[in-house]
Amino acid sequence: MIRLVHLRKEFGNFVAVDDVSLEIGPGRIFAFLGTNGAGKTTTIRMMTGVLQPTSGTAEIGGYDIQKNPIEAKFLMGVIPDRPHMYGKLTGREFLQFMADLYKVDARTARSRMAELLELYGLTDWQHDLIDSYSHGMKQRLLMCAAQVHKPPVLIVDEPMVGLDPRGAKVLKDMLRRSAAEGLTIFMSTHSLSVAQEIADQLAIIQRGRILATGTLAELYRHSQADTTLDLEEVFLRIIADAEDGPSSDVS
Amino acid sequence: MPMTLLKPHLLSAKNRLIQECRTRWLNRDVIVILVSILVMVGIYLGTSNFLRVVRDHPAYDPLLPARLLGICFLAFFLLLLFSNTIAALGYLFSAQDLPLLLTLPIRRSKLYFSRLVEILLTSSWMFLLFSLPALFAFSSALELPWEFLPLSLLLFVPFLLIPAALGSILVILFVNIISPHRIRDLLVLVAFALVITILYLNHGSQAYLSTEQEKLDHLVQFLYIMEDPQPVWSPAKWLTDILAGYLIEATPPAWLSATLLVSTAIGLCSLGYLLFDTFFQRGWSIASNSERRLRVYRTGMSDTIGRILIPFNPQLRAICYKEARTFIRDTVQSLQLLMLLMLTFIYLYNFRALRIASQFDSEGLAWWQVILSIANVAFGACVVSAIATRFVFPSLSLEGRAYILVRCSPLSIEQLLQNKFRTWLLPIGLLAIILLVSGTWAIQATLQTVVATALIAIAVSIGIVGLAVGVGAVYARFDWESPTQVTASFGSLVYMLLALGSVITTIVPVGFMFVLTSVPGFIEQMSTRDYRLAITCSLLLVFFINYAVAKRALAAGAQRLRDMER
Repeated sequence: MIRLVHLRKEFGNFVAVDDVSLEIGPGRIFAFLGTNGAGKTTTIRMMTGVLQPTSGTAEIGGYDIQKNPIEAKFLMGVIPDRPHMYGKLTGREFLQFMADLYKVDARTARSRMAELLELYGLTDWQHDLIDSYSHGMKQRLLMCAAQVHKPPVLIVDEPMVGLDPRGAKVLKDMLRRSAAEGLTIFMSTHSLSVAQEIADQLAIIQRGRILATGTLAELYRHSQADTTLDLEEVFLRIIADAEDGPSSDVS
Repeated sequence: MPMTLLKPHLLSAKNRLIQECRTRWLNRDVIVILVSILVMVGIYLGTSNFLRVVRDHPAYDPLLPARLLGICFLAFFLLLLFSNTIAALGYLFSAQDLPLLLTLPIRRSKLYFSRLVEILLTSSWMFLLFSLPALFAFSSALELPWEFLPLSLLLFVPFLLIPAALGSILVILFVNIISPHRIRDLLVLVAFALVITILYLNHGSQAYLSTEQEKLDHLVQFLYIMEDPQPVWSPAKWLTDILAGYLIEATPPAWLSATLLVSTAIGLCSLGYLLFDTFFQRGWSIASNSERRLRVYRTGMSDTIGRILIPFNPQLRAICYKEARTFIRDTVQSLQLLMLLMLTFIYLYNFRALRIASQFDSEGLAWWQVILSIANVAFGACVVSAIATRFVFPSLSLEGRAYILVRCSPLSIEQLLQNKFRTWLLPIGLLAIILLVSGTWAIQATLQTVVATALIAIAVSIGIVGLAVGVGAVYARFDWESPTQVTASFGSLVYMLLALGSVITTIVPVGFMFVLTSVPGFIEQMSTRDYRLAITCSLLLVFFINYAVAKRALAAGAQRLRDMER
């Protein structure tokens, strides 16, 4: 469903993303891990068509995001890292706005909105202005908005930021359930515990380059770490190795 | 400390300029500076030429340039008060950096004065852009003493501070007395009260003018016979009195006016600070608490709009709905709309004063009607452009950081701009039709002229709205702290200048059309077929000019947005 081929982005002399290639199949949860400024958000911006790559391609459902942006965008839902929305709309009006942008027919949109608002605990707040929502509520509303058109691909940038434990649990359950139903999820995160808990496939990016990619077991094997260690240790070890030597792919 | 608080803005501007200069020498900022210089040179040349003509007129009296200066200062003062109040609402109570600043150990006085400087700079730079070259022109054309210019510049400081402080005082009081969502209701009442007061005041001056209309054969005489429109308590009057000392010989130095100007500025700034110190916390709490659980109930109007929009493309419907709702619920936008409608009403009311049909024979009357009809289109289009500067030009920037959501959706940049264009065309088009047709009604034009004006209004709206959306995209800025930063930006000035250019170009075929429809001599010399053909071609040309302007502007806007993604 998602295919990145030799993706590269330069800002002047600075290389933000360097030769990133990934392939994620349907129904998989992919966790994109990296330190601050590693290139995660830039990669996501190129995948979502908000930023033009210097070279390489990003395909969603077989559509090149640069050549067929509209077709590709119909197939994905995007949750940005910061929940900026239109404060003067109510939660429900915002969802209707997103449904209209994705050309969801009125009846489907109504039932889908009701279902999502209930799932994320926003039914009581649906007629309130977004300006009056807390950070976590805004984050949950963005989750609803990204799924209002039932996309086959979900791209999430830092999904757990601002969520309370209940919200985080709802999200994790939803991601697992949706993946089981065939949704492909690309998630960039700092939260290694979440990645360890739900991801089928992971990649670690540092200074724009993929250091390691594969399943959790493959990452452990690659870093020659004991399986009793948590992912944080593995992550730090791979980052430290990269500082000393050349990068390598696991799978 | 106020400087410390302003530093981030100054550094951001400096860094942006350096970054743009690194990318390419002839960047947007350099173009803006060049355009500003051109505008200033244009104003200087225009004003000095006009003043020389006035000076050489046999009926010249030094009172005339002084009166002209007074009228300009009064108009500027009213506009400054309007824009400062709008800016104060944004900067004092809804700026995005306020929650951070309030957690820092900053004295209230520092916060107030740094905000006052920001309000002042945001609202007054355009005044300086227009008035500085005009003052240079006064100085050179009328051969005034050297100290005229430095003194004028010095006096501008208190003159500009007064509306800024007054605007902040009004906003602090408004927010503390009533909840921010009730401000709009109160403003409706204030606006009506103001309109009635202005009409009442105008009534007196109109009566005066009509008794003197026999003398109206020349602009110089017009200025001469006109009453001084300024009340004695107006800061514009004080400033005029001081500077008039240089224009009219044997005028005693206006020490009283200078004292009044400076002391009022200091007094209002002190009062503003005292009010801010006493009431800010309360006002901030009211403004912040009002954000809690703002429930919106469905209204019949919303359902009706929904039903009307059903047949349209869902993406266009989405943009229409969103723009309308965010616009109606935004206090700053509503405030601006009310004030602008009020000014429009006053403009139309005054336009009636030009109806002096009794003075002419039939041919003279026909030509006078042509001139008035052209002036109606030109002035009306300028008013519509001014309204579009406040609402349509910033509409893309007002997407703010939520713009990324729209870009991630299956809506191309071209479709987004097209939808914005279509959304705003309807209200602006309706406004243009009402305004221009009311103008023709006010000057008692023929039915043919009324119909032609209505069609021209539609054409002109296409150009104005397309230009506003396109130039708004070229100068798009999504990381604003207050929406007033967008409307008071250089981009808005560029838009106004381009809109003016577009209106002037449109006036050529419009003038030709009005001559054909109103002056009997022309109609008699042409066959009916040629007459109809000429009218149709003129009208088509008007549409073509505005369509081309809109298309080019939208294409430039789309290109700029695409460049931002590189």
